[in-house]
This record gives sequence, C-alpha cells and structure tokens, in this order.
Amino acid sequence: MNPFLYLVIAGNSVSIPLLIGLGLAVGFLSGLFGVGGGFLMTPLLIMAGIPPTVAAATDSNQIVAASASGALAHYRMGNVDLKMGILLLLGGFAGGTGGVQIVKVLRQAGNADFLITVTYVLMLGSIGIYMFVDSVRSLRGVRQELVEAASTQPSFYVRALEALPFRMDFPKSGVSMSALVPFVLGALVGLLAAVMGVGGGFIMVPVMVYLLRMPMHVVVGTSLFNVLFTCINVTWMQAVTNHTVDFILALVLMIGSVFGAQIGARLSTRLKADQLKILLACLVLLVMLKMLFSLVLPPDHILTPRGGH
Amino acid sequence: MERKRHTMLAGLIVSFLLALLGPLAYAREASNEETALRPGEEAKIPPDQQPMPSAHGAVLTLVPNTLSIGFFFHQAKVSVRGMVPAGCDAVLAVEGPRHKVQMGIKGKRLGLWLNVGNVVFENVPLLYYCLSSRPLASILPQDAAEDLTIGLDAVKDSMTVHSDGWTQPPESLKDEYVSLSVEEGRFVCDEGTLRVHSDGTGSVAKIEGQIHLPGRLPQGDYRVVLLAVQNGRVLAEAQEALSVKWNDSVAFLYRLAMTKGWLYGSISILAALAAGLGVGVIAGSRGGH
Repeated sequence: MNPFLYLVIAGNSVSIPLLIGLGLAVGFLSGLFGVGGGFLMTPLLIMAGIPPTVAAATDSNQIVAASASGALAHYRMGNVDLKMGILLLLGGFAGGTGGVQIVKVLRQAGNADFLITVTYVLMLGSIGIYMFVDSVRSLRGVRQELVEAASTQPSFYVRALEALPFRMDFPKSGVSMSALVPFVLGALVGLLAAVMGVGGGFIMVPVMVYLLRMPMHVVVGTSLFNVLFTCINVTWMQAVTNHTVDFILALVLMIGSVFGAQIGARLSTRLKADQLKILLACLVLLVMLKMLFSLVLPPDHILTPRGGH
Repeated sequence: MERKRHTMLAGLIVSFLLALLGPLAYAREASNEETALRPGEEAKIPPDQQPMPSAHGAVLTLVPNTLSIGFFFHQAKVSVRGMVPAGCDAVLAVEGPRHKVQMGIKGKRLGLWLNVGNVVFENVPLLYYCLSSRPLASILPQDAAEDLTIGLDAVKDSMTVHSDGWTQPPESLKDEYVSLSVEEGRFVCDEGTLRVHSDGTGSVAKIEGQIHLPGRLPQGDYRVVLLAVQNGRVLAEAQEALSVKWNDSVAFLYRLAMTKGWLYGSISILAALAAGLGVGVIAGSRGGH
C-alpha cells in the first residue's frame, strides 16, 4: 500500500507514517501537560508541506480528538474540575470574542505583528522562567518555608479575592473563591489567545497553577477539558468560514494523537507536580527560544505564506 | 455498568466509522482511473499510440495524458515520446493554469524579522516544468525563450507583481518567488535530460523523456509544448494537453468542504470526538485507573 495520502484541502500528498508519528508525539505532550499542542503541530505540518491556514485549522480538529481522549483519561482519574472548567470556558469565549476585535484595531493601527510577537515572546519567557525557578525551589523545599512564613499574613491578592462576591467552593480543586475570578481570568486568557493566534493552553496552565491555586494534576485535566471545547468552536468556525479544515489530514493525525494523549495522561500521574511543572517550563522556554530565533535570524526566504500561527 | 460501557463504546466506534466512511460512500471512484499510472509505475506507450514520423513537423505523445488524483496519489511520471526533424534540438515545456498568489513579506524592523508588507503575484503558473536536450541557453537565444515563455527567467518575466511595504525593486520579489517555487518543486527545469536520437531514416529524430510531477499537483489542464529548434530558430512545434483531475471521491470531499461547511465541520468534529472518546473508553476498559 502506498504510504502517502493526497490531501485535497491542503493540495498536497504527505507520508502517512510521518503524520501518525507527529500525532503521537503531540498527543503525548497534550496528555502530559494539558496543552493543545498547536504551537508544535502547526509549524511541523507547515514543514511537511501543508499550507499555514490549513495546518492551523486542521490542527484544531485533531486537538479535539487528543483533548477528548486526554480529558476522559484525566476525568477517570478524578482530575477534571468541571465547575471551574465551565467558568473558565465561559470567560474564555467572552475574552476570545473581544480579542478578535482588538486584533482588528491593532492591525488597522499598524505594527500589530511586532507588538503581538514581542509580547508573546516576553510572556512565554517570563512564564517559563517563573515556573522553572518556582518548581526547582519547591523541589528543594524552599517553597514550604515561604508558604509557612506567608500563611500568617495573607497577600493583597488573597485579600482581594476574598472580598469578591459570588463565592463558590471548588472541592475537586480544594479551593474556595468568587465565581468572578475564574470567569475574568478565563476571559483574559481567551483575549490573549485570540490576540496571539494560539489555543491558550500555555497561558491557561500557569494561570490555574499560580492564580487559581489549583493542584497541578487537576490543572492538566481541567485545561484539557477547556482545550476540547475551545477547539470544537475553532474547528466549526474554520470549516464554515474559511473552509480550511482538511478532514482526511485530521483523521490521520488523530490516529496517533489519541493514543499519544492516553500515554501522556498516564505518565503525568506518575510524575510529581513539580516535575511536571519543570518539564512544562522547559517546553515553554523552548517554544520561546524558537520564536526568538525566528525573530532574530534571517529567514531562508523573505516571502511567507499567508496565515498560520 | 459494564454493559453500559460496551454500548457506549460500540456507539462511538460506529459513529467514527460513519464519519470516516460517510462522505466516501456517496462517491464512486473515477471512471478514468485506468488511464492514471500507479505510483512508481513506468509509463509505456502502446503500439497504436506511437508517434508517426514526419520530416517537416514535430510530433508529441504523452502517456498518460490524463492523471486521476485519488486519496493515495503521490507524484506521477508522464512518459514523453515524439519526433522532431533530424539535426534539431528539442525543448519541452509543461505549464499549468495561471493564477494569482498572495504572500507576506518579511523585513527587518528594530533588529527583528517581522511581516512588513504584502505582495500579490499575478499570472503565475501553478506548475512549470521544462526539459531540453541541451542546456537551454545553448539552444534558444534569450529573446526567443522569453517570447515563447521557455525557461524560468521567461516565466519570471511573464509574471506581474504588486506590493505594499516593500521599498526595493519588485523584480527582487519575483526572483524570490521563483527560487521558493523551485525549492518546493513547483518550478522545475531539467536541462539536458530530453534524449534525441536518430530513427535511422535520416530525416527525423526520436525524442524520449520523462516528466516527474510532484505530489503538490493542482487540478487543471496543463499545456505541453514540444519545440524543435535549430540554430536558435524554432523549426517545428507540437502541443498536447495534460489533464489533471481529482477522482469522484476526492472531488466530492472538496465540494462538501466548500459548499456545505456546516456539514463538513460537524462530521470533522464528530469524528474527532468519537476517535478521542472511543480510544479513551477502550483504554479505560483495559484497566487503566
């Protein structure tokens, strides 16, 4: 059997084993860290000869499969906080809608690409470094002392959260806070994700860990739950508006990604929360470095296809 | 509980298969599939399609002259046979339908490489392929090559370009586009690979060659031209059409995506959910956690 597949929407034929391998690798990362993996899959698909707009849209479609598989695995392990997830999701949809309008205004004002790219690099860099340092200190036992010292004097952030109305208990995450907090943070992540043209998993995971104070394993499962619904929305919009979803390409990627997500989800429960955070921090920093290099090093060609992340 | 799980699993698998096979069930394979070459298959010209010798003109035959693109299509070889008057060089050009291409331009701003503008190339062939019996420059003078749109320089000159945000001459963008197209296999010039040899009668020479078409092959009617050239002048010319078509299944899927986006999107989402949840259920039932 010919190991190549002709993709009619992408207009190219691509090796089937290559696509399955890509799906497996990215699905594994998705199940392990609770991220969609679009930051990795989209450029890899472009390198395999898929046009950027088709790569980005189809990636959303395959993430639906990987995140459904990973979210179900985490749900069975009791790692999905549905109440928190739904509030974040509602905020995310609201923020995403606002973010699209902001992108329009930025583009009209000019220099939008510069602002977006530099903000993205700075944000990934600061999130990655913070997570890495925090996890290393925590593994060394420094954090426990700090937490004990801080416990007698609540921070301004904690006091502000406690003053907000609509207080709710989130037993799965072991936290109690106003329903406005996850909604507003979800909206901020949605807004940033829309402005930067990414799924938002990278921003959502640190927000859940550091601002919502959720346990790392529940963060991964709940993030996957959010990624699932975000990508269903994106796939639908791309299929109806831009006609750039390549169903056949997505199917082949799914074959690998659903199994990869299961393996990743199982491995995540065997790692300590701080080990997971260090690995995720390394991944975030790698993505940041890749973006930084693409900004600093001269490109092979000054012409670039339209679209993509 | 176990029974409920099995029912759910069966439902997911059935919906996944339906989503996968549904669109294909409506479509039949193309009736012209037999004219297409299987991957890696060598094109052979049947005896009744062998070119007839002519002392005055050129003769060109392509096998196959219709390529059917199915889901397992990957590259294609088209065999070229023909006749040119004895003592002539041969040049063969394959040109796809022309279209408009929009791209972004990267430039350096504040020390960083960013998208700084947009460019539109018009009158660009989807694919350009050129074969010749010797290096093109030694067969055709530059003026003649440009008039006949033979060679990559001529293709470049035939394109038009409009850009914003680009301060240098637009010609440099055309150079960049041609270089990118060569790298991606859309523009190919294989000079010296078209074989010309005497048929023994003395008045005509046979030509033989092969066109290697890439996997990134757009649908359309391609124009194939054979030129017989002597001392920089074209003595004879023959043309053939090469038709590249999607088979019924591929065409059906494309139509569905373009005309019924809501249905196509729903199938894509359902298939993804069924695949993800199906594997999740299977993995769970095999005693994970």
